[in-house]
Amino acid sequence: MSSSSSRTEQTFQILTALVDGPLHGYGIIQEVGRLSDGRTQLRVGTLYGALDRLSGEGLLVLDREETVSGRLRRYYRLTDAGARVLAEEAERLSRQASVALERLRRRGTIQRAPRGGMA
Amino acid sequence: MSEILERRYRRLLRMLPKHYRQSRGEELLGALMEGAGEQRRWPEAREALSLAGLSARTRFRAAGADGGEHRASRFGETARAIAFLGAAVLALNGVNEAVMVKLYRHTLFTGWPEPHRRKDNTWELRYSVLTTLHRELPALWLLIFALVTVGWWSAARLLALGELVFAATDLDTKADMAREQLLLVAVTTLAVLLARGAAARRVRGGWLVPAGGVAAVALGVFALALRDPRTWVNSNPHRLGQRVFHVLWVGNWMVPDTRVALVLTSAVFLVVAVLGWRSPVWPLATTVVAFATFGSLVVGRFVMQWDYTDMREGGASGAAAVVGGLLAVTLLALIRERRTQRSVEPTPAG
Repeated sequence: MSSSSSRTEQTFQILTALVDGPLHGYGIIQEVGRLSDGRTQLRVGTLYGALDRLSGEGLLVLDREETVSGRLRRYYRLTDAGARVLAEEAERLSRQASVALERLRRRGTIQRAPRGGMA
Repeated sequence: MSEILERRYRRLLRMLPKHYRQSRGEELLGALMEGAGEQRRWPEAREALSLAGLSARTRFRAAGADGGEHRASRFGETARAIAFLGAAVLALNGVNEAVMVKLYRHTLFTGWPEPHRRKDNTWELRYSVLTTLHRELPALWLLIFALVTVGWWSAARLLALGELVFAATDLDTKADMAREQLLLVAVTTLAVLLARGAAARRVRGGWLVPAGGVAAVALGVFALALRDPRTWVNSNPHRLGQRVFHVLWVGNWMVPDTRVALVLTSAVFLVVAVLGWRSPVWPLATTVVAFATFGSLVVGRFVMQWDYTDMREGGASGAAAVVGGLLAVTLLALIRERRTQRSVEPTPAG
């Protein structure tokens, strides 16, 4: 995955929220809040801007529509292309995190993981 | 309680473009209402800000897939039309300015005298490269016009910004602002910057003919003037070439003996408005460009009572008539479109 197409944190969290199954707008907001331990509070305008962009890129599709208590809900589903992009991004972030952790261990900022379980 | 909040959210959602509201409005409202607490009466400020951001993003970029084709928003299309027309007018005017330098100074980039007011309220003539460039650099609008015609919008944006910054410097009098077409330069630059996504595309099909015509006329007059400047200056002012020369110079339009320029320009503006009758985009763009072209002169002359030494009332009245006429055409086009939309909108079931 090229650096130019690397995802923002919010986009990454939205794609991650949809891995387990389709969600509607407010469902995505709640799931992103849970995934980030409440650090990310998506706003509706921000979410729908991202949904428009991700749908345009073919990473999400509309799954179904429901009317609950008189309110329209549209459920969005991750496409195969979306899952692939998310996997690549997750691997990229994982590699970056590994490099950062390794350097911090060498510096002594964090402890090296104990070998053979708990000491 | 929730009814009041819903009404306020609906009012907030009106800031979104109509086509977006029609397809997404109820869904957005549902998400907003689900996220609001039981006791909430007013929309959250950060929520309102995020909707304003969504509105701006939706208006400035392509509206998205529509029947498999990328469709530009109405806003983007209007910005594109203003950029195209404004650049054409500025290109013709800019080439004419450069021709004037060539005619009266015989070479380009050698200094052009500009009157400057001293502190004791007397005037002096100054020669400087900067004042010369004010006469010669506007010719670059021909290049900007060519760039937007072939679809190289990024390069056009950079050049247009440069022209705007340059035009905004070294303005000694209010009349300078009008002569340098600062308003038109600003409006056109803004339009070049705002035409993005699907709107930032090259000119295709039948529109290439008028686009090529603008470039050919500008280059043709420039070539004629450069070939033999003295003959050109002394030639019969009623010759077609001389008349075209006067048409190209916007600053000349206010002088009564070149009122023919005003008539010809009015005809061009009206042709564009009629050609764009199927949609209000072109009439609206033409009105904006006409106002930006004549507006500062007309407002300055009649409202602010600015003193133009080379301007007579007749020319300003004609300019006001052109802007007023185009405004009327635009309003009619908007009313016509609204009525057409109403007649094809399905009636709600039940």
